[in-house]
Amino acid sequence: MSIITQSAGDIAREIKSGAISATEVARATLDRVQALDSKVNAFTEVTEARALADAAAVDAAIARGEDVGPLAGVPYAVKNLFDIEGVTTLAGSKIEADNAPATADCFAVAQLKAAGGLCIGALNMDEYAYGFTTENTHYGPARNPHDLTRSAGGSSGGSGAAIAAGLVPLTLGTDTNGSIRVPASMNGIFGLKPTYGRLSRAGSIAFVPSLDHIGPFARTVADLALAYDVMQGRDEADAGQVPRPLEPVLPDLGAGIDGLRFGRLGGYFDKPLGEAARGAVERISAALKAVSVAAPDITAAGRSAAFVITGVEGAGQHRAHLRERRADMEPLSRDRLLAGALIPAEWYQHALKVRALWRAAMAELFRDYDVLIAPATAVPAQPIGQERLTVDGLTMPLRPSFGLFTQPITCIGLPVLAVPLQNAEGKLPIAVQLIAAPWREDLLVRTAAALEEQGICRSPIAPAFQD
Amino acid sequence: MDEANDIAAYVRAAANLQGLGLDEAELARVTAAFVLVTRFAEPVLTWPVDATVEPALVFQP
Repeated sequence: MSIITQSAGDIAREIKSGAISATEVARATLDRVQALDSKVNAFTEVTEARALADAAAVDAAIARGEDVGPLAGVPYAVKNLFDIEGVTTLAGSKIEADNAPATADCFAVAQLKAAGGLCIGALNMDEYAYGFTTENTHYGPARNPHDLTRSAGGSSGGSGAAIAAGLVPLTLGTDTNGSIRVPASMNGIFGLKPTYGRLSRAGSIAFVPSLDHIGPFARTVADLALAYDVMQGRDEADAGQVPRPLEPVLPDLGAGIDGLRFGRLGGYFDKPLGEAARGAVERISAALKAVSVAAPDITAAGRSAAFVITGVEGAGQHRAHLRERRADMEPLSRDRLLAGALIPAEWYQHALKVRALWRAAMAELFRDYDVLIAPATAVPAQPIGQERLTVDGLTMPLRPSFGLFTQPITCIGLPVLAVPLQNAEGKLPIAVQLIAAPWREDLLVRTAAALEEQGICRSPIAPAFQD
Repeated sequence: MDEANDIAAYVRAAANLQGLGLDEAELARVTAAFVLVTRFAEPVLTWPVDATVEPALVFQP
């Protein structure tokens, strides 16, 4: 296996040992992206000069005998709503393409760079993060490495496809209603949406400020934990960040799951479910010896609250665009944004109150359980261009419905780690959500690592992209 | 007036008040999108809350 298709941890170890240079890794990664990205359309910009400069800096530091950080020479790429110095931050839009390049890295990219990472480029997404399929009209759809006719999920679809295709071992995405967990499910990879307020979002283009999160994707739990730990840190530029001490999770990776209490959420999360999703939840629940627990009756209202909050705040972010640049906006989400602009204020206020009640109901559950299990998506990846989805006899509009099981959780900011199962429906993977109480990402990482060690959850490069 | 006409009238009026300047084709599409909003919003709008519930202006997870 080529070094560049190994894990981030292995790449860093090889570089630190002198077995290979960061520059060699950067060049090999750029070559792989050049050769394969056209199949999946994950990248909207490849930052070749930046990658080589980052790599040269790492190699020089190693030559001086300096500690180059835990991501020494590890290639990564970020959803194109994160600022990368010298790159125009597109947020998947045509409108933002008119802007000047970013003058500085956003906090998360700066942290990855400081840890020795090599920025390879910016990744495809749904316009302004409003979507679950990355069928981007301006830049083309991100394609699923497991089946190129299918969606890579969204809105962080490029971030998911780049990982599953083995183009880079680490990517960043954002999650407002499921935009990390849905691509993790579609692409069969690990994705972490931390607690709301944990990681700084400064230097990224907001979608729904009171629901927006950032987080990493990876093919191993250790890599996911590594990237998450590196991105922690206080950043006063994000008014939504909660001041917390650094709480690294990597040291907990091998702590095991003895003594943890697992609950499988039923009720709202039982239907509609396709066979692949149902089987995945059952398999994870059995492995963790989870007991059944009914989701609170308010869950559907919680999901609905997320929908209303998203409509209002999402439209609020783009009111000027909706008035003046409508023709340049994504046709697949423009009308939904316009409809959001018309939601009465009283509905929004009501949604905020229901969110408070929903949060309290879930807090009660965490008195009895450490980790809750729920499906990430009702079905695996669907064909690009498909408009409707029928599951369990229920037909619904596909694009707004993919967040059915993810939206309720983001609404109240709980940390979630999406764990993948391969070949859940033919060659297609699917993921399951592991959900913890606020700030308990450590429990999620421990649980995911145990599932990975048992061979239940794993994320190999998609077969068509293996060496 | 039935509900569909009520929604269409609301969308037209609210869009005008906001200066969105929608043409007839856009109004039809946005009305359809708003019908979806009303359907998705129903579970939250029918959930009872009383005046004492704090809407969490400072969000803590």
